[in-house]
Amino acid sequence: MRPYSVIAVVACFTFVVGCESRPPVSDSVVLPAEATVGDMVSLWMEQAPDTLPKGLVWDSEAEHVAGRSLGLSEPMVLQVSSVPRVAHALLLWADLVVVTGPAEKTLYLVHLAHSDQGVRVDSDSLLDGELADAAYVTVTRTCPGEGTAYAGIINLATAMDVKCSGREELVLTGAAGRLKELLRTIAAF
Amino acid sequence: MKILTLTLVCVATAAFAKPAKPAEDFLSFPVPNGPFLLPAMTGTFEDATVADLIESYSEATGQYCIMDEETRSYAHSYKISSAKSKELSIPPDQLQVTFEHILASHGFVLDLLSTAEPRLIGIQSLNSSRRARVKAGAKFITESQIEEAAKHPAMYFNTVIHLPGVNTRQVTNALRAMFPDPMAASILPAGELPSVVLTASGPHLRELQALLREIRAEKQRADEAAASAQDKLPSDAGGTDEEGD
Repeated sequence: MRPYSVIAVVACFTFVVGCESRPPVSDSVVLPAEATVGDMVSLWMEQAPDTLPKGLVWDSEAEHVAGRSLGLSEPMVLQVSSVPRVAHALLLWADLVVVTGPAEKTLYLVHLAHSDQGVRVDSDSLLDGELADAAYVTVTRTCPGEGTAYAGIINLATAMDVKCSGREELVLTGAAGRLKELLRTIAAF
Repeated sequence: MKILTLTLVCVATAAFAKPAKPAEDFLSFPVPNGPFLLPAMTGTFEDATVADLIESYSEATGQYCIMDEETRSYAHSYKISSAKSKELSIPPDQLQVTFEHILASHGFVLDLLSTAEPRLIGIQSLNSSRRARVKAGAKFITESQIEEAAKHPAMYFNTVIHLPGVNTRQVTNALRAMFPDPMAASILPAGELPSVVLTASGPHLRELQALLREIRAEKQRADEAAASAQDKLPSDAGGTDEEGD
């Protein structure tokens, strides 16, 4: 066998290995480095409209955040299937939550969303990570220590932008991603 | 010649496209395949800023780092070192801890926003107006995970430490001086329960855990000593009674 043939075989093999290690590019989209929060939301609405069947609108206060840069270090390549999850993570980073109403979903600044706007969920689905990070939800939980741990929980909840009411039976409302961490902490009391 | 060129292209494709070791949870991070060199683009190490470090780290690990504009301007203004060396070379397995040490020493906090691909990392300056959100991003860890968390000086965690028999209100009041920045770290009593809730960076949590373990052990020793003294009391008292009779 001629040396060039051997080289060609090695070249083909390494090329195949190289290609296999790259993620498939067919169903991916690119978010530019200079993208804003609003660009991310537009991308979500374009690429995954089935996850927003009744549409997504901005609350007037939240709309001011739309023009804020996401601050990406480089253009982000993401699979279309991961767009809603990434959008939720980036929205929460920008202190926005997705409130599900009877009609459409609305983006609110997390501290301006009202506690009665949270969708009631059970804590198991929250702890299992089944809910998207920025989804605005409400869970109830018995306060440990027969209500005596209330003050500590209020402090923790406030730091996480979670609204807390009730004393022996806590009603907690906030972004799913943060509520999950709060519930896990309370469970360890 | 063409075949040789093709070979080089293919070998390069295989070498550079190979993904970094996948990470599974928020305490695991991708490890690059080769040594990490900084700077890649700025000339000499003494010119490198925290922003250069973040950009190079992002490229080497395949993670996306995001910063708000205020944090970005801080990152561009802080030089990493005044050392005259040409470059900083970090072994792959030491990249994460070194990266976080440099971030933490310049007042930056790392928040892992997504563990699934694409992995997203939020970076926040403790000097920025959004510093209060540092605690909002703290992840819960169990006491047994503190040792692992200690390898993450730029990450913040919540944990609960049990202190049976200890007056947790007294302890938290006494230790509050160890939390000079309550916006970023804190210690709270869990009501009447014998537990305290800590929010702090990984290494800080380990220090606090060691201290609280010592308090717990001291309380246990004091209880044992008291119980032992109590055991002696009835016989002494009984002897006195008999004498009295």
